[in-house]
Amino acid sequence: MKFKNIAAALLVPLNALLLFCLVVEGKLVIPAWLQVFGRMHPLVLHFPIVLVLLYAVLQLFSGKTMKQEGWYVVVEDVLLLSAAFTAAGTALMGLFLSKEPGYDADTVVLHKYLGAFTSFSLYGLYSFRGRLQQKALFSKLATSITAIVLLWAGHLGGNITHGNNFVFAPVTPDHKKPPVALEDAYVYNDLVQPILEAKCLQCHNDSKSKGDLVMKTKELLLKGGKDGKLWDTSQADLGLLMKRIHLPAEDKEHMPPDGKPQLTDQEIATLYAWIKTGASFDRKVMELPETDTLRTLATKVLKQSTDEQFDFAPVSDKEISKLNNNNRVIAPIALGSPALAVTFYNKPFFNSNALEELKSIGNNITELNLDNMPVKDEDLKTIGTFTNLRKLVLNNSDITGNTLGECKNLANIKTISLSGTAVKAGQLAALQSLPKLKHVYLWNTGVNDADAAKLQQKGNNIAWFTGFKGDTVIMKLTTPILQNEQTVIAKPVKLMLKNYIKGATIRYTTDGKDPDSLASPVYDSSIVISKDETVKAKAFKPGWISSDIVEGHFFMSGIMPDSAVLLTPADPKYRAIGGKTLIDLDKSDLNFGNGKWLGYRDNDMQALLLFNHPVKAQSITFSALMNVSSYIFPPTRVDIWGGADQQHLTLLGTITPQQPGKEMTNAQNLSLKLSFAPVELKCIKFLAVPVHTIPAWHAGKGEKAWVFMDEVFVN
Amino acid sequence: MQKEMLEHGLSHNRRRFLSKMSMGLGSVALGSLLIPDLFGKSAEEAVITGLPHFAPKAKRIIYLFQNGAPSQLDLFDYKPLLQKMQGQDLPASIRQGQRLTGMTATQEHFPLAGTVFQFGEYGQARAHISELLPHTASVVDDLCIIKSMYTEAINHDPALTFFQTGAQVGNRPSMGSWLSYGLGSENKNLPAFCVLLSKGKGNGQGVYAKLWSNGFLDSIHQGVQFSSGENPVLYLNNPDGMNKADRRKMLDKLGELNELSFKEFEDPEIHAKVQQYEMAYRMQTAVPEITDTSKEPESIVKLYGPDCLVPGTFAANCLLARKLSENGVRFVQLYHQGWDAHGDLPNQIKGQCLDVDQASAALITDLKQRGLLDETLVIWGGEFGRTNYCQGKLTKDSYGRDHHPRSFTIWMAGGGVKPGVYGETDDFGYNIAKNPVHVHDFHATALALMGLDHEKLTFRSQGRRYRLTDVAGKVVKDLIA
Repeated sequence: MKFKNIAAALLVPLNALLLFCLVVEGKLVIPAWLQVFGRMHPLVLHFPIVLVLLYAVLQLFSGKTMKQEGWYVVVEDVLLLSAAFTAAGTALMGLFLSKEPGYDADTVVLHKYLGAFTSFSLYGLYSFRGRLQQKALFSKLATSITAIVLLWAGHLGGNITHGNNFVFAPVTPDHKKPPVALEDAYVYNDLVQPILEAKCLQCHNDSKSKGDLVMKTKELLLKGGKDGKLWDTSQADLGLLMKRIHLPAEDKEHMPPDGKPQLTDQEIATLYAWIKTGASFDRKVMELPETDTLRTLATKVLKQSTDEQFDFAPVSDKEISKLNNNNRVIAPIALGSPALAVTFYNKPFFNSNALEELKSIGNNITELNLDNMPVKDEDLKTIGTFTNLRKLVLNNSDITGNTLGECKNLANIKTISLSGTAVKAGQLAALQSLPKLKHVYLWNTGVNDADAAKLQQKGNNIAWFTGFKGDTVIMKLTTPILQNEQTVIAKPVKLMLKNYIKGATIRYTTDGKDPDSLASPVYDSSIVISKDETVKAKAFKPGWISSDIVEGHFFMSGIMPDSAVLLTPADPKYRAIGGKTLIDLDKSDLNFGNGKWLGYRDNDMQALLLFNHPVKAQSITFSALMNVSSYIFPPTRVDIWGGADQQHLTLLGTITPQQPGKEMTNAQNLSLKLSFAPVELKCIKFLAVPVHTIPAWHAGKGEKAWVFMDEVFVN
Repeated sequence: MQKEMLEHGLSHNRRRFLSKMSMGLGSVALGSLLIPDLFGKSAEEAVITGLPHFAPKAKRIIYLFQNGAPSQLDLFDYKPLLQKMQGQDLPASIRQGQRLTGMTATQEHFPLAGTVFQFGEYGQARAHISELLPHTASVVDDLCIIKSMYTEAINHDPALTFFQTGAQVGNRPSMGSWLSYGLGSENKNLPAFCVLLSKGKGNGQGVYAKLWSNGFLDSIHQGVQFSSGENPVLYLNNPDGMNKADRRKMLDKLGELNELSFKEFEDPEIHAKVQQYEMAYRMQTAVPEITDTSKEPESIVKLYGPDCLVPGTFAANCLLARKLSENGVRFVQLYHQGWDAHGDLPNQIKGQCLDVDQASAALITDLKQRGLLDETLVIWGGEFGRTNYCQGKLTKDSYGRDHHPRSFTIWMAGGGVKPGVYGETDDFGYNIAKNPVHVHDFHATALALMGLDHEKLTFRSQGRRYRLTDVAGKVVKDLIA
């Protein structure tokens, strides 16, 4: 009872203090210790809310008989008193708290008065509770009003701490404007205006034009406020607007004022750059030079918004899977997107019907790819109904362009690809009226660069691409390819030459001379090689530079040694198949690592070629490899002996191959030949010596070089 | 009292217990609605694959991998200081104790080697490009040149594996496999991931099938290597005496047998195998038309260069890549070998550039003139860069360069990347001065361009979830238009 009395007694001073503070609010200075008290507002406020609601429920819903009972009267009394007491305290605390900066002024003002009203009204209800008991209806009404005001105040309080519409935000549909793509954006509409709307318009609008300034329209912005025009680019500080923005936050003139949401650095930079460049109202972002500050800022703000939002309803997965098959692939452009991309594959399976079946999902198709499909002119009628199309690919289709007018309803289309079709320049006028069309691809069509330039001149934003023609480019033909796999031959073979360029003629020689475009014979597939021969071939085609020469050596296998023995072992990495490598008739290509070469580096190569029966020989030819960048050089010399057996050999001669010079050459096959007077023999021995010190011009200066050997032919 | 006790006892009968229990269970069930992952449905099972997570900029990737590591200092990263300091030792303050390969670690000196090639400035970005790449320079306004790439590996195989799979060790899924897994194939008649190989005359390094492995993903996501010969897909045609109907019948019967086998063993790879048979069957129709380059107009031959008709060349692979990509192949991976110029660099790089320059630029022009560049991401680059100092002997006109993972240049084009030059190296071209891009960042960005969140594209294997970007990588937003 004591507490009850004290609380009741305190109600008067508390409410009086509250009233007083409200009246002199502008002059209040809150000391730090009282700020602590004020900051307990968000904690304490829950008491009056609960108590008032509890009291209101009792008041409104309990029956008459219950209201007569003793305990009820006590409970009701205590409830109302504690509600009134805590409400007064909460309101006072709130008032102190509101003096701190950082709250949205408008909401706080209303919240403050509603809170004070709640406290006063509860005090009234408590003071007159005795008399009110007689007037049940009036009592109920007063309680309801108090409760409603309290809830309203509470709701505003919530908004202050959590932001507007905190409770319902998750279920409130987003009414934000769809984001503008960078290429469509205007400097004022999409960059400047959103800043003004968010940070300035709250005080400078039609109904509340502080400083006689309204910032809503171009005209009103240009007019300025009571202090004059908003900007003046002849001034160093760019005039009033920028000056006020740049003032220190505690300055009275600073805008937006203390307590209001402030401009971010990026927003300030945007406004500054906009005014500095003349405050244009109808310029597009893309019209600015690429290095322009404003454009750079714009790419930051608008970058992520280039993803288009689609507002049409999705079609069911069932419908999509019904229409989906291996040759007509339909898929949402991303998870959860209602937009569909449709692509057709496999020419033989396409027909007009396959396209018409899409009508049930036509509204959702944003991309349609008919590349290489036999689309007919009349099919464009179907396509023309897919009004949400953004991209249409008709490359290499059968359309002639006569029905491009059917696209007139494609109000959203941005890109049309017509490359490789029969469209002509005159027919493209039909596309020029499409409002969002940006790119038209016309490579390999009847449209030439002059036509495209003419279309371009007609303005609007469409870019017409004609692509690469190449008719003035002169190129060199590829070198013919010698396709004979066997160049060591035992019997006559057909010469197989090929050039991949259509319409190229191959001419060849067998006399070692370079092929000539007129004199040399033209190659055809009936040419036969039947002896040791060097073939040179070259390709020719009008309008092209003639090719490099391909050279091939054919060897008649001649006298075959019956066995070959290596007297010194090859390097373990390049052992091939041992001595047999020399006489297996498998002549290796340039790849030194293919296991068909015998490689020597640390020691000289010594080998024997043995014949079961005496043979008459007059020449010997070695195949060696030169690949200077891989340290493979020709041998410094090859000594060759012949005789009846290993013990009875005479020197037949020495080959000293030419060593490569500083001007690096590509890897090549060498053919090292020694001719001698005809001699009868059963055994040939040879010694090949690797280069011992690589010359100074080479990266491996001073190191040992490799010798690589393959087939040996005896004739 | 007794009666009350009795009543109390009765009020706790079995029926009551059960009904109360069910109420309790009911409320638990209600609560469980708020926990989608309850009852063992773990997060990775919620990975939805087959569609982009958000609207993609690019639908397909063509990756022109320059295997062996092209020298950024002779192609893109112009450093006049190196020419000025030609032959002087690389300052220790720049090298900062960076580890070296076994090939130059024993070198006593690290003489700086300036490029012997001329550079020009091209395009709106005034990008430096070497005289070796005139065609690339002509399409520079479509290129996003990243000069600040860096990697962790210093030797070819781990670096290549890292670039392709996001890990230096093998057996992780390749980038193309991840995309196939995440996005599915566009064209069901072709593999989603194709691999094309070519080789230049320069010093080469091998590429191995592990680079296009599906790792722990389903084997349908494995890269399909095309042959470099005249028939890019071997054994595709029916043998003599077998017609399409017979083949169909055979596949149906085989499918039934496989289904029996699946019922017995429940190995999902059996289904993958059946799918591959079916795909091969469909490829019999689709592939011959796509790989036939004989119908390409002469302007295309001149655009890519005449080599594009010679099977197995880089140019031919670029042309084939465009045709595959145009037909909905998600990821076409090219490898061009021969960039590993430890010695004789000026000579070797000339040949390599002749191989790739025209065709790389042609691919961009060609995609553009078909309206496909917007939705196709082209990537060009090696596994690391090359050193600013000379390996071996430095002469007036010849030098070699060792491996350099700390900074190198790659470029991307189309597919929603922002053209321009990104990142910088220091004046020595050794360390990154601005905006470093790690391999994981590159992967994250490429996936983002394809509409995939690299943190959400996961697969559970051996008890943990894996991503292409492992546990790192951030999307480099500034590279995205």
